[in-house]
Amino acid sequence: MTRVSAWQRVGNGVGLVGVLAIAWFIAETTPTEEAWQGPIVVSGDIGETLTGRNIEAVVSEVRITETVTASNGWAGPTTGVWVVVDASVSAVVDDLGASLGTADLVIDGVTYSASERPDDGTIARQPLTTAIPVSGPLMFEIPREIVETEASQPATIQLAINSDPRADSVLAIEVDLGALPLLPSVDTNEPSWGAL
Amino acid sequence: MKRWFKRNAVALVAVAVLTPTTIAVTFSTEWSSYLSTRATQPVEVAEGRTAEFDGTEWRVTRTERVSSDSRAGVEAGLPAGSDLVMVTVEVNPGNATTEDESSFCTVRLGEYEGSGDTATRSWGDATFAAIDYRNPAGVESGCSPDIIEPYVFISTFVIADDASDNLGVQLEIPDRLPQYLLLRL
Repeated sequence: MTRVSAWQRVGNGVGLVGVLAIAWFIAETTPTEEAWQGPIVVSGDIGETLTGRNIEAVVSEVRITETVTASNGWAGPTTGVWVVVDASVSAVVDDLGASLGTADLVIDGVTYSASERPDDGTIARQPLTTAIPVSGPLMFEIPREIVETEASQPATIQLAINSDPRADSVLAIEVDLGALPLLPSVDTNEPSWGAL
Repeated sequence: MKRWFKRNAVALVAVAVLTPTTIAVTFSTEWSSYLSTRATQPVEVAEGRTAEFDGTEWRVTRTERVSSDSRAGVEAGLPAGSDLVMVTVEVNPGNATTEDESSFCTVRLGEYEGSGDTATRSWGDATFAAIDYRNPAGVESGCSPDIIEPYVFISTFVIADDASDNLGVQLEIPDRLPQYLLLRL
């Protein structure tokens, strides 16, 4: 039988503690499923050109209105209000199957998708071309009480290629809805294709 | 400690070799099956040369580039900041018969840097784009598998006007992936 010295026992103990510490570190720092599958967010402000992996966009204006009339004559009745976002969007490297599949407005953790009811009066779901922007309005229908408060109402406009932006770029534009006046009506421009 | 390493040398070497090998084999299977369905192996064809691919001869005979600012560009209703590129391709289906049809293909236009064969930007065919350009009557706008005689098609692309002239047509035939033709313009 081999005799184990006291120093060897101490060494084994230190080794065991070391292995446990490494295991703990790995368990604590391993990215969660949400983290490694989540979108890569590129944040910016209104008027700023934001560029992701295969999407580039600039939001030029955000308005809140009681009623909106699109260029094709569509007028959306709502018991809420409309947030109208004017944006210019293009693909960056490749337009194969590229479209503005994600156009969301996130307010206090609740996501409102851009309405597709205006049909060709909006750029929601429009196909994108590499380096040639499509420009036009996005209309978001939101509850009236959100804008009836005097308080600051932070919101985020999220734009991405395709409807599932996981593991891809999401452009996030911050806007304070509380700082915008509620307009009685807005007529939107016709979506256009080409540099502005 | 030294003795411990000596005693377990074989096992340690086995772990050191087998662990990366297992990871490599697992991922390479997934990776190769992913790559086999995508156009990843270009068969380069110099400007003006004829290529034989999928039993068919392909040759770019003419390339024309029109700016949106030019008269032709305005007439074609091109979007601001764009150019229209028209590529004429001569196709000889060779020995194709009505039974087996000639090759079906899809085309894209790539912009390249130097002699690299990976496009930095690319554009899809603009046959159905919102412009007023149409090919001359009788000229195909893409591959036509039901034509077994030699024919010509003109592919059109609306590209950014800041794209360089280092362009190439990526011609893909689904049955030949991951290989594809890269016809330099």
